[in-house]
Amino acid sequence: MNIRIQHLGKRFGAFPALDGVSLDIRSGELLALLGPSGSGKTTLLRAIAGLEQPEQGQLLFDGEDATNLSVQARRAGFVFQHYALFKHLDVRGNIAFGLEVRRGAERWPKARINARVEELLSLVQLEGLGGRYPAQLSGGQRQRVALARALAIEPRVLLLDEPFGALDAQVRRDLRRWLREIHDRTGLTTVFVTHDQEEALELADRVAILNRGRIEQVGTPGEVYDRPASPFVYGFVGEANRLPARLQGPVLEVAGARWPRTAALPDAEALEVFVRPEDLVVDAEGDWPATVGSVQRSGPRQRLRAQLQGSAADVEVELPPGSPAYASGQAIRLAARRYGVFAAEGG
Amino acid sequence: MNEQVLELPVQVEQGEKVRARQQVTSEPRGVQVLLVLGALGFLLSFLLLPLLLVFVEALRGGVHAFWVAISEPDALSAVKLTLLVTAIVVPLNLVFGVAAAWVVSKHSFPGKRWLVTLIDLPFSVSPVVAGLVFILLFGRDGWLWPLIEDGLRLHLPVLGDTLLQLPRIVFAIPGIVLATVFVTFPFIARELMPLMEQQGSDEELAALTLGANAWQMFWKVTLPNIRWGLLYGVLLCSARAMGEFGAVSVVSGHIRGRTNTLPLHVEILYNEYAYSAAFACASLLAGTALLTLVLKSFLEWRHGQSLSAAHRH
Repeated sequence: MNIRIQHLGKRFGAFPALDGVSLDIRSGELLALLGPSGSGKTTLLRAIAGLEQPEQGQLLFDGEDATNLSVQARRAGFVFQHYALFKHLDVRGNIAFGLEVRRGAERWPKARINARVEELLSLVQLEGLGGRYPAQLSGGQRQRVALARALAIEPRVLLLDEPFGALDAQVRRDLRRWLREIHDRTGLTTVFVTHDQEEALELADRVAILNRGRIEQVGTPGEVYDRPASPFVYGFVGEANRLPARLQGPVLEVAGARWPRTAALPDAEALEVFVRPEDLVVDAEGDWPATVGSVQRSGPRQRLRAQLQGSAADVEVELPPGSPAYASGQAIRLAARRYGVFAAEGG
Repeated sequence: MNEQVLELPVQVEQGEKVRARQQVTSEPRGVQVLLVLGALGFLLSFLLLPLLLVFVEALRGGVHAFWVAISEPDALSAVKLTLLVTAIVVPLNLVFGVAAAWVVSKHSFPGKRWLVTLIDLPFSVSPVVAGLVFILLFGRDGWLWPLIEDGLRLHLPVLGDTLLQLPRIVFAIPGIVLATVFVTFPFIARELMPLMEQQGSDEELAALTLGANAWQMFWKVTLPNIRWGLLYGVLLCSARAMGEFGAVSVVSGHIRGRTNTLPLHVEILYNEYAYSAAFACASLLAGTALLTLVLKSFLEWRHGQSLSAAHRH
């Protein structure tokens, strides 16, 4: 099922949780909603499920208006951050819940429900644990029960709120891989919320980055990392050095270096240039004379902290493997292989 | 320096605190013994002794006299009335309590704090005052007396002329029920509110996303989650409903055989110097109190986990 979100708005008191969000979610894709806490990502997910009623905007499921559809009618499988398993029901009871509350013609016979539960238990690799209660399961197992329960109703879309947030690192990695497998096997449109950029970049087909109730950028993990669309994305996905810059006629002055002005520059006097640490290279012809401050080595990697002479800015430089060793105090020149130019914040 | 091993109680695992052993008392043994003895002595003299005395006095005249005292018609009717009132009040407060706890814990709205304070009102208002309020409302000089005496003629569109007339309330069973409902209102609501608040509404929302309607959500998710807390509240509410004296005393009118509940009956007997009969009836009340205590302890022992949020009584 594809989902079209148009200008969705929602406030909590004076705080805008969603501020005119528009997003197209393609059928069968695995999409991550990535953002810091308070960015509106969970509100957006809950609005898709119908757990949150937006004040403005429209939600289309396969082209049909779903804005005012009831939670039940949306058939969105929702996995809560803390699983929200039914404590008084065993694993089987939890998974069967969505099938057993059906009434009338939709109601399945008992045998069919049981068969479906067994099928799901094996899908989430919990065969033999059907009789356990949630309190008797580990975090990872609970997560999988929650997923099986959501899948039982054959949802049109699967929504997961911080699915790995409450798990330890090793379990998290395993479950990540396993969620990807389940997604590929079921082909279900899946949206998950996370604040962990590594998780989003590794797992998702596309990533939507939210900040303060707005979408900053939507793209594949590669696009988002390589061509951030805003200073926020630069800072939130990966790391970035920020260098002050100014337009002076035909020249862009960046921390002392003078670059010819290109056409595609923001229309502002004060600018900022963003360069990722791995995009800064040591180059004898480089733009910026600099002094090596400190050197960090971890395994094959070498990282420099350097002071640019033309400005007060300190920059981080990630050197490619096999680079010569540098010492503190050494004079070098740095160049930017790839960068982004944005209007300076507040200027 | 003597060696001290402090294990800090910080290991939190899936919401359950795993408490490490820790030595917190440093008083000399003598002081400890003194404190324990003091507490025990207090309990003995102020709680256990009077209770024992009730039973001793009740049986002073022998089992036969005891039996006569509790099987005479006025005593029997008092027992019946007490049970009747409890049987009406507890279900009412069960519904009110669950509804109030639901509203307060699962929704946020302006004036919520006020509502919570209001729910607690019966705890802080003297029962006698509560009784007087009902006299002021429904008594012979009360605001609503015309509604009881003459009724109110209404011209309703479909039903035509209708006479809205209230039954007698003060000095009758409805008054006793009202006063008891008022006094026992907070017991169930107060028991459930922290419990439901702690549980949050994720499970309910999960049920909705799985296709359950509101009714199914309540019966299959909410109720099972609060059942032990609810039972606990019902227990406390029943105990209080049976034992309520002040408010009921004001509104009942003490009409023997008609509006006398068991606590009132005990007082009447006592005032008539029928001590052993008074104590015999009192021992019935004390018996229900003991039973409540046993059941309560059992619930706490068996289901302490699911009651944990509400342990304040």
